[in-house]
Amino acid sequence: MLFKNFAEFCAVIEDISSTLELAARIADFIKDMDDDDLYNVVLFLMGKVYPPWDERELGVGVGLIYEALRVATGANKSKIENLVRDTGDLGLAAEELLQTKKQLTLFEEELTIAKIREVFDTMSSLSGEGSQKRKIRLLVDLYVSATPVEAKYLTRLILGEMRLGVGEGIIRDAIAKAWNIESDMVERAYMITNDFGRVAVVAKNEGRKGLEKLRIELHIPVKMMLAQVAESIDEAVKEMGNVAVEWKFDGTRVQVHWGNGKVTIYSRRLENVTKALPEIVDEVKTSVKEGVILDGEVVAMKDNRPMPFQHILRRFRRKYEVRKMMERIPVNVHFFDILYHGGKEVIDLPLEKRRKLLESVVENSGRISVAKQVITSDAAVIEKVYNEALNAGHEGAMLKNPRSAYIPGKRGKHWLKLKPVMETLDLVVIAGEWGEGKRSHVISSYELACLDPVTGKLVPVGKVATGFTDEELEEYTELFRPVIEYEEGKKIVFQPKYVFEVAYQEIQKSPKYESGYALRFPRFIGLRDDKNVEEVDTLERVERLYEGQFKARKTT
Amino acid sequence: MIDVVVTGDILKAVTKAMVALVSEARFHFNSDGLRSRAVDPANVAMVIANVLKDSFDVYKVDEEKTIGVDVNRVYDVSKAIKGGELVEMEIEDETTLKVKFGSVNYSVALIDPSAIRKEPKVPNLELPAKIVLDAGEFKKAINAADKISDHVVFRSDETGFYIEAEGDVDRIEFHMTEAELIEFNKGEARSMFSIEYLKEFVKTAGSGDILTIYLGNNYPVRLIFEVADGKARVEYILAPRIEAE
Repeated sequence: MLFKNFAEFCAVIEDISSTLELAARIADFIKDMDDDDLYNVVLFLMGKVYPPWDERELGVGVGLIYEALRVATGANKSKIENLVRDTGDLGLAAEELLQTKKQLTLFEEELTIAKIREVFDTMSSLSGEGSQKRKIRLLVDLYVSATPVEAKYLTRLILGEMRLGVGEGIIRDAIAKAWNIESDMVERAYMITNDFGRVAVVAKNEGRKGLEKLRIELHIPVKMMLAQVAESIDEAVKEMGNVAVEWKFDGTRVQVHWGNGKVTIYSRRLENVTKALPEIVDEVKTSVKEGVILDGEVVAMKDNRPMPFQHILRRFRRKYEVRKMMERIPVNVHFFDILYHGGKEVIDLPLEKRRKLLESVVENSGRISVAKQVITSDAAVIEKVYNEALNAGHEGAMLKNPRSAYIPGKRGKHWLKLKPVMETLDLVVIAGEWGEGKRSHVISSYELACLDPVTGKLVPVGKVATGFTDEELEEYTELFRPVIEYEEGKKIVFQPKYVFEVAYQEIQKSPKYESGYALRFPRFIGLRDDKNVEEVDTLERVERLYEGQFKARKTT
Repeated sequence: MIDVVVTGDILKAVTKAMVALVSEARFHFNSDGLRSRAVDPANVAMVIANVLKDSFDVYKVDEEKTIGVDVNRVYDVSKAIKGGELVEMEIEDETTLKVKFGSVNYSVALIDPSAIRKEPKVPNLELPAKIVLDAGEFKKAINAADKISDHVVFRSDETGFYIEAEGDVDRIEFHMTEAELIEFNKGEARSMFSIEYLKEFVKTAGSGDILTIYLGNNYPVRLIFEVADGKARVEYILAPRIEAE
């Protein structure tokens, strides 16, 4: 298929806001594609080149795009920068640049989806010296052959930001509609494969039956089951009767796949973090029976207390000197669930049965253990476990329904988390501002947005400028520098990539921000390096918290 | 194994012709001579350089061979060679090019030819006007036009060949009649081109060199320079600019 058809389709749906119509249009568009085009188009529509757990990435930042556009169009850097500033979007700027290009070329090649895929795969395989130069050359070749509308969506695709309002929900519904399958079935298939491209191809060729047959496989990550906030202990007991109570560890979630002679560890974002945790890999091989997928929490311990979880994340990011970090930040894993055992998935078994399986495959050692669990219907016992966890420096307690299945990706009422502090929000950083005076060389304030999950759009909810140490300000200025899309005076617009956890005193209604809400006295808590942009808090949650504080005030 | 000897002006002409568009190029040696072809990264212009076997003082090429050359480096070194001075170029293995002149022994690593951007085919162009003139005159016209604009119009009809450029407050016209041209078919044609490119191309040429132009209507132009006393041939093909405002 020609890339032009894809780009023109994007241009059409960009202006559509009805989610039903979007899903219907996409269904119609993808219905008759061949397998390869279908796979690519489904990912591309969501602004993805690879499924999230794939280790490959393009490694093309804003800087390389500027350079490629400069070479391909002959426009100088300041002209491109002005255009980006005026349009607020590198994609629109690229379109405009190609439109106003007066110089014709000697040769043009019609771009196809397959060609774009080939170039992307080549780019992601490049590393080391000279790779930047080669990437620019590959990009220039694409831009030279691109029509203005192709350049617009090509640029957005490379930056992972299509601005089409097409989120996972719409893709799910489009696949369902295209081949007449229930949405729930498509959703389930996605939760266990984490690859909508693959789901679409199976749906097209084998229909509902094919999706049903998709099973959890070793070394392909599964979305983790998530927990809601518990209203109160009494509520939980009333709802579940018997409650399985575990500590809520102050660490970070991992999914461990152990089979076919190898161990793979995925983070909460389903990134492959195996290389960062060599001692866990070794320990799993000796203390866990082969052929399993386990769910657990990695905790960094120092003097018998958990270290802030930022320390673990620092290890996840490490590519070099991992062994040295092992001594400085020793980690343990507490496993609390099992998803796969004896060659088949076990997620449909009730928790109490899964727990037995888990205990039968894990041998407790210094580094690895099965998280302690108490089954009770006594609120006092739950409170006791909760206090023990807090006294040991952990976050609180998990209350789980012992009869519930493991539902990947679901934030349901079968798992509840009990935490003492006020809820914080995880928000994506979309812009920033340079400081003043002695802080003029650092970014001193950050604009934050939550996610409208239906449209996939990011809507601003406020700015955070307090809670940073001076070192953090320096560190984050360097972190954000490569994702700067453009600057306008003191304001800097970022490619949405990093997630901040922020606390606040109150949520207010406000016309100032697109979300309709604003945070009062927001304070920076930490960088959530374990979260994707798609995983930030939703507009719905902000609304719920707003309503919630209203209720709370009324009762007091 | 390749072992050839040429005069310095030829090596200079060929490398200079290539660096106008690219920094790395493939050189092919075969039984006819040396040939190199490249397109600039933006696909706007192509260069084709040819030196026939007879233009070499010594030409020992065992078998047809393609090498990848960092033309920027070789051009820089070749600047130090005098025009009539003999230069020996030697390639024993796939990895190194040796350039010897006077008491200088220069060797430079070759580039894997497959890592250099692939050369497209020479486009097949039907161009109505043929103009042959002294390259030095053409060079003067382009350098003058460069002072006032970033583009020029090439125009040809029965009254002669024109190069026109317009600035904000000034205008340049270069006109040669049939009598002043070496050869002219009076073909009618008109196209606009970027001076950025032309200005690089004319660096290859000197006064007395012969330039043949094939011109069309809003179509690429072919500029063929006979340089180094006619011993090397450098052809540029340049895509036009759009005239509409």
